[in-house]
Amino acid sequence: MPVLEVKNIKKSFGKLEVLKGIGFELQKGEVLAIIGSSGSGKSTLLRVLNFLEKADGGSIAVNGETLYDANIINKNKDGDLRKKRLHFGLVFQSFHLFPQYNTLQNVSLALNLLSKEKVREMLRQDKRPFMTRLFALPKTYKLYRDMLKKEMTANREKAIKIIERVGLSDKIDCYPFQLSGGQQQRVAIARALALEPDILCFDEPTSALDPELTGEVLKVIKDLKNYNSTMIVVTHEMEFAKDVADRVIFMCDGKIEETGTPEEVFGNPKSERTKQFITRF
Amino acid sequence: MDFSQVTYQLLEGFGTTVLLFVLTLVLALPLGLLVAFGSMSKFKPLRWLTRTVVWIIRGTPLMLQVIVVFYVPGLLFGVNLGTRMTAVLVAFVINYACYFSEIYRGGIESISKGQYEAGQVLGMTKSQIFFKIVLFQVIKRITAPISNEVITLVKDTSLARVIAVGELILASQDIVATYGIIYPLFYSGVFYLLFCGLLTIMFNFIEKKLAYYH
Ligand SMILES: Nc1ncnc2c1ncn2[C@@H]1O[C@H](COP(=O)(O)OP(=O)(O)OP(=O)(O)O)[C@@H](O)[C@H]1O
Ligand SMILES: [Mg+2]
Repeated sequence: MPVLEVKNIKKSFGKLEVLKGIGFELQKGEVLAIIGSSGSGKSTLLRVLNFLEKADGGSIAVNGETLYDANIINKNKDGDLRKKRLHFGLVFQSFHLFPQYNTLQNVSLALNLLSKEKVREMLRQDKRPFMTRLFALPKTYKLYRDMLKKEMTANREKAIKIIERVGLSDKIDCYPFQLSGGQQQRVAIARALALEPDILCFDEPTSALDPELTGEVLKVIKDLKNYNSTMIVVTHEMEFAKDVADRVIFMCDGKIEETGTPEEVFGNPKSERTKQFITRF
Repeated sequence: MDFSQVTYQLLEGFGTTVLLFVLTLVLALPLGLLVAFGSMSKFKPLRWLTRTVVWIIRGTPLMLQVIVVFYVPGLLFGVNLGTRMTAVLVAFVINYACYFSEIYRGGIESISKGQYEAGQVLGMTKSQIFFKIVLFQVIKRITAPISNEVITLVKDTSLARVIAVGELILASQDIVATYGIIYPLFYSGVFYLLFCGLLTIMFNFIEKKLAYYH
């Protein structure tokens, strides 16, 4: 069963039809590179997958569970939407780190918030009579604190491990403004990884970086492949796409113009438009 | 009238000044946030209503507003607002809430969409995003403009004098008129200076605390 099944995604902004029916599948551990010229709808596709935009048509399923289907009117409650979002991670072109938090805090914030909710939810499950619960309040509070503390410690350790993986152990206490662009993007990758998404999406992760800094970020992404992460990378780095991707999609005008292995798409493109695009690089 | 008597009388006036200052802040700072949310509301009528009110309040003198709040309810509707102090307080709170609301709005709108989206993608709720990500950045950005307004408020309290609320200026003016001595006027100025000085030090401290990141 594929990890991700995207069918016939359509999206318009007003009269402008940006996605005209996009469909593909991803297997576990597969890396998909999406290339295409500016305005072809690559970012919009990633935003639809991450539920930052609502598709007008089509469906999205992860591990066989349909998360979105335009034909089924689903009144997505805020809570549902959040759970669905957790299947995906998104790394933005311009990082969007939280400036008031240091590296460790950036990476562990979402984990800690989830832990807090989890522990609270457990307490809410307490169905004993009101008076019993009232008298047990001090005990419950202590329980809450202990559980939360345990979770937070675990989160911290997890965050530290992930930060190590992106090679920033020595920057763990630094605030984003103290980091180079490449380092900031690596923190952003760690932040997304912390939630262990089923599919991690990158929207031109190196486009905002000086050329000499792109290497360190691409290396981290390449390394994720060894951890069997399923990834979608929108990129203009053709060498990287060739090197790392298992499959390449060339998007043009909101449609998939061509798809195949890197060898097929780069070595022997069938479509005239793909040929034109590739020779430009 | 000797110096200690003058000091005592001025301190009494200063008490009223400080009371007006503190109550205005305590009420206007949260009210301003509500007004700010109103002026950013997706519900158009509410947004336009709020923005019109803010425009009127910011476009007319505070002195006029004090006089209007003091006289109009009584003359038109026979409602008594209670004491003069209440009338001044109502006018001040409305006025300052409107000024604060614009500062809040500017602060909130200056936070990039990317911060919200980063929070959303990490599965945070709207309130988590507001309280854990946005609010702190907003506070940092608005400290300087808020401190300006707060220091202006110290001096604006003297407008209460127009409807004969016994604040610092009125107290010193009384002494000058009754005893023919000039120095209480300058003396009262010292009160304002010290008060503002203290606030400046306080705000500098807060700004320094928040300056650990850019
Ligand atoms: N929120 C929006 N409102 C209106 N139009 C939008 C919006 N977002 C994107 N578009 C339009 O949709 C089209 C596709 O945009 P998109 O950002 O997906 O392209 P892209 O392939 O990522 O391009 P690039 O390589 O420049 O990042 C563009 O014409 C863009 O102007
Ligand atoms: Mg884009």
